Amino acid sequence: MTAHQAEFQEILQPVVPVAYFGGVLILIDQLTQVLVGIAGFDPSQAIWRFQTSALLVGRVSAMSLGLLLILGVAQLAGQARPARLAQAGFAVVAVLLVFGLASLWIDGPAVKQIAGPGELRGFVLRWIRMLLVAVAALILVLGVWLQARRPQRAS
Amino acid sequence: MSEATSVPARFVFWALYAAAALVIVDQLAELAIGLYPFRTGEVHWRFGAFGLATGRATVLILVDALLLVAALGLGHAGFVRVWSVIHLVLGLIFLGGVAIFSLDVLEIRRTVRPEGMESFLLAAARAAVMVLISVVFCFWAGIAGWRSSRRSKQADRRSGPVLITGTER
Repeated sequence: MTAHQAEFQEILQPVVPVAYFGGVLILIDQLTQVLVGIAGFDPSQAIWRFQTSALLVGRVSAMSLGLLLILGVAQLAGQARPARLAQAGFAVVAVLLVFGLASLWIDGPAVKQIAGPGELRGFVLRWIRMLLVAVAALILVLGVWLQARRPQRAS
Repeated sequence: MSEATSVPARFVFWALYAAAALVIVDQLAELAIGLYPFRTGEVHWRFGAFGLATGRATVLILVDALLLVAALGLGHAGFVRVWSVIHLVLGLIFLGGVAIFSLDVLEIRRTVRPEGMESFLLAAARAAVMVLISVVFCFWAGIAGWRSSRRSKQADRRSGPVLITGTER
């Protein structure tokens, strides 16, 4: 580490825990928005699973930014533990995305039948959009998770 | 204040400042449009405004991080101090806001239909929790930012004579 980097880390040190807290705050914000958006609790219903998955997929990008903030600050501050926690967070998000994607794919046709004739086109367009977003988010989250693991393996 | 960046990286930090300013203007404009016409005397308007404002937490925290990284990277200790004071003031405003919000929730609760009570309470609890956590964040960020700016000023003073004598830092 150069003298410049050491000095910068010293200046950065007081704000590092706050930045972690900011990342956690983002995660809490997004998760509570999902919880408030979920209508009741009935996983046996295809429409419930579909709506919950859609809500989750819509929030994943912001969750990833919160996790990225924690990961970035941890790497900047040279702290391994928060970086590992962020990696675990990415893994959890990836698992949730897989379930969400499965639900969107499997439950989509059942929900499509419920949609009225006037709203069918709009539903199909939104459905395709959600599937694409979920796939892209899954690739992004898995990519970051794998990349973040690399330095640990090397060390 | 010591600058931890080379010349090409400085451009990136200035771009971060600009991006953060753009996002802040965009978010405030969107919030203002959503809340217009402003009826601060109405309980329902205040409740909705509070919920809308708390929904912006994620974006504003990211902007916060961008601003701080840019200011520290460019060595703008004065800006970090202003940033810290703004956070302390915001913390106080949020604290006052959550007190008014709690009273509003109690008032609106009487008019909510039983079938909508659960979602109303969930939304109110979410908003209250988010603001309380934001208060902690603001005060903590204010104090930490102040400390950080003090360290950078100390580093500045240290680096002064070192540069004159030509000793490696």
